[in-house]
Amino acid sequence: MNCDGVSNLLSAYLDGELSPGELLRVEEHLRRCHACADEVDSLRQTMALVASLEEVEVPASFQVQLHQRLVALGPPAAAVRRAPAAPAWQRNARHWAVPAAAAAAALAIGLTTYGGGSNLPPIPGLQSQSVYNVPPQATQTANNTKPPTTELVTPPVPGTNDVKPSDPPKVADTTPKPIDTVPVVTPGPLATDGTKAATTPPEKAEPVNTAKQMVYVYNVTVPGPLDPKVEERVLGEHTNVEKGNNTLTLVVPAGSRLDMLDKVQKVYWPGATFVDASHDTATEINGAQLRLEAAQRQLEDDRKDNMEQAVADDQKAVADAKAYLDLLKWQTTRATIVVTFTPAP
Amino acid sequence: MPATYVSNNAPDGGGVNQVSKSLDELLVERAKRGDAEAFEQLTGQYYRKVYNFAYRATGHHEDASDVAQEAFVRAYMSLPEFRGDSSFQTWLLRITQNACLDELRRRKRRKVTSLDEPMSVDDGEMDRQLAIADVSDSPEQALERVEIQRAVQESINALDEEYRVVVVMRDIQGYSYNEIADALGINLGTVKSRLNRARHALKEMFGRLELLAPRVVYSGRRGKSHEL
Repeated sequence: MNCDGVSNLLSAYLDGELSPGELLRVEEHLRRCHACADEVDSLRQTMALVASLEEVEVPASFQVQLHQRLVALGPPAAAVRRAPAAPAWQRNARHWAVPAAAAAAALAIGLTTYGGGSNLPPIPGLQSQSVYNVPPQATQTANNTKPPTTELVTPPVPGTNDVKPSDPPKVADTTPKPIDTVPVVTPGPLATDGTKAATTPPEKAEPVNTAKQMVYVYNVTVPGPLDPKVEERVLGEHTNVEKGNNTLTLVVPAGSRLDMLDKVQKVYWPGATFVDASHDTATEINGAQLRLEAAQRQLEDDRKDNMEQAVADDQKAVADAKAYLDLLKWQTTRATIVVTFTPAP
Repeated sequence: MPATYVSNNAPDGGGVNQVSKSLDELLVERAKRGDAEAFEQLTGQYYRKVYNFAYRATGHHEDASDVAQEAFVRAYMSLPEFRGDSSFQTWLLRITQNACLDELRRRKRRKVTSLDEPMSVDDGEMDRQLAIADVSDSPEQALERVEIQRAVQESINALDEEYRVVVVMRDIQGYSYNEIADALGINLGTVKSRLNRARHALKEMFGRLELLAPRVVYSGRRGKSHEL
């Protein structure tokens, strides 16, 4: 083989990517040809120089910017196209990060049970998600906190990250009245021009409901560790089960909560005790309703003023407020039973 | 490892049907349904690799950030098309290459009027590297090291994008020929040939920049096989 024939193989030679036949020919040639041996040496140095480039740090802003872009995007387009049955709130609701403990616990339930009411399978186990895996203690504490009566729960709206937990909602700026005296308002249809809100069919918001709207939560305590046989049985018999650190969380339709509690105490873990941590979420729902209406008013105002950029933000705010309201309402249709085990010594 | 199972009791009452899944698969499923946080958890481990690839392929932090973000956004939006035929990493890599090539070609068109301008690398990055230079280096050594890095990066920048991408993937990020072929959608022969050309071109540039040391041949050690 002459130098021309070998030269093109030297790069792959250095990577050990030659066929046995090629390798034999190249090595044979290199033993005889000084120039090609020099070439190999230069190429080796070249590769080493390139490889010596140091890794750079990812700028701190990268993750923040990416997060903002992803959240602003909404769900992957194809997912929306292929799963028209999934209501908009299901697709949007998981973007919420709720700071208030009560709201966090409530949302954790929503996330845990997400999918339970649809044709989508439940997905457990994101241990590092801040709001997803609220430990039972936190859930209990949160649930034992009485719902605020004059304060609105104000989760930050995705896309408006400057809303701090302590910021009062816009509606409270102008209507600082107790919730139960706020007149019933039936807002108009949602935005219908080219935003996510447009994909949601216009619908009338329901009147403010002053009746109790319970989120059912039961904290069950079982002495001793989790018996794998019982675990297997529970998993076999129930769809929405999530295993945590020394906990099993079962989510069932609200209507069958008492039967389920009975089963937990008599069949699965005889002798287990439980604490009813259910709470009335009517206040939160009213708050979310008001927030939605405020967002809708803001949208109308900005439309009238032809504030294009603001309108886009407003439409997003309306969609998000709607999603949160739907999530809260949906939570009242489910019961969560958190079974905590004493870890093995 | 946290809990990674899904209890999937079939609605037709099919009894125990426990499906084991890896955490990645679970995250993919959640992300497909629009859970941006799940997507970030899934892809967080690749930020560094994707960003560094983009940085070395573009030579600038600003462009690297654009390319890497574009790659992750594309991955997120096309996640429903991810079928798990290849590993997630391979799939992400393919998207990253495409995003990067698109950006490089776009830049090339944009800068077509200023081709004579030397492509420079990010001064900010060089300053940063100087600042964090090995404390055992003397100031002269640190400066020399940084200057060498700058020269190497500028030489890579001078390659056509197709060559640049393969050399970064192979010599900086250590991907196999197969992985590169898969990511770029080209055959193995093309990978070999592009890499060969890229390295020879770099060798020429490094030679002109006097970055390559002459080979010292000890005739005694090379023995009888040394014919010249």
